Amino acid sequence: MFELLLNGFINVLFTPSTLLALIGGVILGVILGAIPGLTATMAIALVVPLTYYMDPVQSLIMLMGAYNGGTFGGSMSAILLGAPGTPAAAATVADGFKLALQGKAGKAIKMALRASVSGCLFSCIVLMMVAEPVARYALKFGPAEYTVLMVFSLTIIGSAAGKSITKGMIGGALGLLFGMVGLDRIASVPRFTFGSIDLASGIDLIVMLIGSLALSEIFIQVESVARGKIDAHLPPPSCPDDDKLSFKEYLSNIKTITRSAAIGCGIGALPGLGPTLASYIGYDMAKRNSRNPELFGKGALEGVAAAESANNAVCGANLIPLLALGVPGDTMAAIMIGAFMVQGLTPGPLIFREAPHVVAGLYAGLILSNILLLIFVSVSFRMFTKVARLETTIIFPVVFIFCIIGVYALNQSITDMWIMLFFAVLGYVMVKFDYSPATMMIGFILSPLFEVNLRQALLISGNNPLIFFSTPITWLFWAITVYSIFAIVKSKKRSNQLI
Amino acid sequence: MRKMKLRLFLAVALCVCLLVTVTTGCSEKKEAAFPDKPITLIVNYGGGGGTDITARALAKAAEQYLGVPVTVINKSGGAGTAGIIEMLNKKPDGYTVGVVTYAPVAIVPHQMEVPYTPDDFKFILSYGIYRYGLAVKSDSPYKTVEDLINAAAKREEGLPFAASGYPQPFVYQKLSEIEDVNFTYVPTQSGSETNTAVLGGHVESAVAVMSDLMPFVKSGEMRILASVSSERMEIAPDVPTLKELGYDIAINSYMGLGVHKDVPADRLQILRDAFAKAFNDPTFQDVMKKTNIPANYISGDEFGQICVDGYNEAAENLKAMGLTK
Amino acid sequence: MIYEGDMMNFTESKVDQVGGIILGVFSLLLYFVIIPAEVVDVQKFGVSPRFFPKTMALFLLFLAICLFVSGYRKKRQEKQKIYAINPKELKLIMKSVILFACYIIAFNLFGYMIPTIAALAMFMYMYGQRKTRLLITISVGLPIVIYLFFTKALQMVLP
Repeated sequence: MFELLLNGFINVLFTPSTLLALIGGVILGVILGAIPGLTATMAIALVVPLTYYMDPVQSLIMLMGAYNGGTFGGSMSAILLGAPGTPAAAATVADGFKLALQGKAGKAIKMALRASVSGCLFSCIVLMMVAEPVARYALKFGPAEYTVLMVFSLTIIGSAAGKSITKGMIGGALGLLFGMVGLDRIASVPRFTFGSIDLASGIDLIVMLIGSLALSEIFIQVESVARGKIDAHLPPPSCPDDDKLSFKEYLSNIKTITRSAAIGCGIGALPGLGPTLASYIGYDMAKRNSRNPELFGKGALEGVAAAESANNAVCGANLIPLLALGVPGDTMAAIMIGAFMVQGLTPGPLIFREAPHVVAGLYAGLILSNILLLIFVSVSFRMFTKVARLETTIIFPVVFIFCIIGVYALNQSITDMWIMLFFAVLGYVMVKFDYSPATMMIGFILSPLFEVNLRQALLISGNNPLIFFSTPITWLFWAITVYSIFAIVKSKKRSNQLI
Repeated sequence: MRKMKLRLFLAVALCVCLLVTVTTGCSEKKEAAFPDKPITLIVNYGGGGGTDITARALAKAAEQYLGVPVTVINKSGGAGTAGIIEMLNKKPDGYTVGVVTYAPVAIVPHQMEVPYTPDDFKFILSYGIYRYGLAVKSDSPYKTVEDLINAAAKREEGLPFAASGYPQPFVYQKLSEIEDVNFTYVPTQSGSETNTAVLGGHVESAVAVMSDLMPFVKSGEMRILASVSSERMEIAPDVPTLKELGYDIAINSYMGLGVHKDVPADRLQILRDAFAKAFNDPTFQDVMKKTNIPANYISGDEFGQICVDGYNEAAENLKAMGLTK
Repeated sequence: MIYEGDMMNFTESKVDQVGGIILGVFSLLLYFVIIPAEVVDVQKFGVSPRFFPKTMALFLLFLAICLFVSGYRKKRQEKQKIYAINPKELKLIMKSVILFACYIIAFNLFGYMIPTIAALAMFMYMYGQRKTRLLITISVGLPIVIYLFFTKALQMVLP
């Protein structure tokens, strides 16, 4: 195993074309991720046609690099613009952008970078050591277990709600409703499509994100233009310390990072959940376990670390079900299956025997992608912060254009552009009156997962609700759910904000 | 002053727009041999999936026979219908070709409003066929289809099975009609979700595309009880078909290419010839082999007939399941 | 710079009550009009596709009532949060949204390049960019760069 991995490293490092593919993937991922509206998944369109000509290790690690880079890249615009570049970075905005407004953009980016890299390396280790048993255990999660896990995840809405729990839950409920648009996933009949074919596949997560979290936030910032502010968008660092992240600061967050990485691994190993949910749960758990929960949302480095470590941990953990079972965890992994297949390989239990060198190369590539990410961003982050310090008259229009073109390019759909605009206005109004677009986003992500699994479970059990209490896993998640609700009620009571 | 500038800008922009539309409008007048500009192929599923990979390979192979580039666009959504509608909405001049898969043409129109029926197409060819298998987990007590039916007979609320969309569940629908037992359809979102449901023991059996099941059959984690296609499968020749077991049930699903029905006959013929040659191209055959999708040539007219027959049959099946729109 | 009189001020109590009414009406509309019209009731398949939307509509109604009541209760409170809306800001945002809408329509009609250049320039001008050279460089240069990136690198087609 070790020898194989070493060979993998040598193969990647000393084959110029492979190394180049990896570097290209990482850089492309970071840039695509950092621009709101463009996502790393778009890099596929670039890589997939190339996979015919590349060898499997090359094309796969290029995809991996783009995925890892893109998941981090999203946090760049989350921190610098307050507009998350990818769904996975949505939880980073709350603290990252506040830090940037205090002039600490450099510090926040460095924290995000270290946390991302740590999270991903953590999941790499889990992947290499225990992929098989973890994947086997994940199989025990059937519809009933997923349903209870989703019930727990719904409680995040409660704790993510700001001052008013009612308003937070309204956001969540709206999100759940928007998640129901499209073909019903069980009975395959259209719901809320108003006769439009474009709505039949539902509202795209990225369209929703760009509209309700990115554009609406930019609209809020545009207000300052009306007040006559057209100079730099972000304040410069007030002291050189603001651009640095000391090792001590990193160490003091190591517990949060590890916790989030573990959560990310768990979510990544379960097919179908994805990095966005992982980062929200990671953020939420960090807030609850923090010594200073009141700092969260006001510029806590810990918050940035928690969200970023969790979402990048999913990158590595995604490969657990993919390699061990041949089951893709999300869109990116599904595309990787395609890349495997073009090469005549089938991911799954046999791949460790059939193509051990590919697996080793993939592991090596994933680890190296983190190192490259660290180097690339450390070198180039000043350039990114400089872009963010441009005049508002330039940066806002440019972001607008990227958002809208990116959204169009997703599905070549004009309807998506209108949906984005609708959510931008809705999100703006919500922010104006203290409703939370973030809880709407959480509800939107959870909606299909919760509903489909619940209905599947009831179909399996013949409408017997006892299925939700049938296994130890369900009991565990019920217990966590009860504890979570209890904790929320307690903390809100303390601050007298129950209604 | 400010308003003036804005107005000026608008005026200039408008003029340029007009100019562009006028010039592009003019350039299309001259008649030339078809095709004399790039052909667009709209794939009705997203990038990187089996349909996308194979369609791109076919498009690449067709370029040398058509003499023009074939640009591939992905337009997914609406259970595979969005891309097909996009193709139908384009000018029927033969320059827009769509990937037309079986389910969105024959089955989905019964479930939701779509602005077409199988009669609105002219088909170019069908180049791939999906084979389906009926699978259980390898440590499952069910060794034959009969075991499964006996088990279903004992369970009044229905024996759960997983499948990721039509036409797969029709198999169980017909089995339960013939044997008067109950199966419960648990819909999953993809073939790999079906696999996890079987491997995790959450459902008793499943029907899925053979290429999705094969890795697990090879690794000994799943057992195929029957082939649900009309003939035995090349990849698993020992497995009997349902027909051999005495049930008159077979489902097949196809990948093909189609154009709008108003495309001129001579242009359609050029497309048919070119893509038929592309089908036999070794690079395309190689991609099909690697993706485990059996390459299977069916001529455009035959494929059209298959879709029309399937369309009528699906109407009956869905009605029997109580699932028509 | 900004005078108190220029702002549109709303007390929290009022905002919550109005919000409650709007959401309440919306949830009723959802339950009695939109769901019956837009979601087919499939009985044979376990839980009906209508079940979850209806549950959510009822839950939303409940939340709307909560919101209204809490707004009503705050009516006589002295220290309420004031939502101040600056008409100047609102106007700019509305202009931006309208420009967005026009851009989408133009994009649909005329394709990518020209509407993008126009929209970019108009956004920049609207937000106060007056340096003509900068205005032209960015509004022409960027769309071309994006176009090349999408069509050449990402193999996507822009109209």
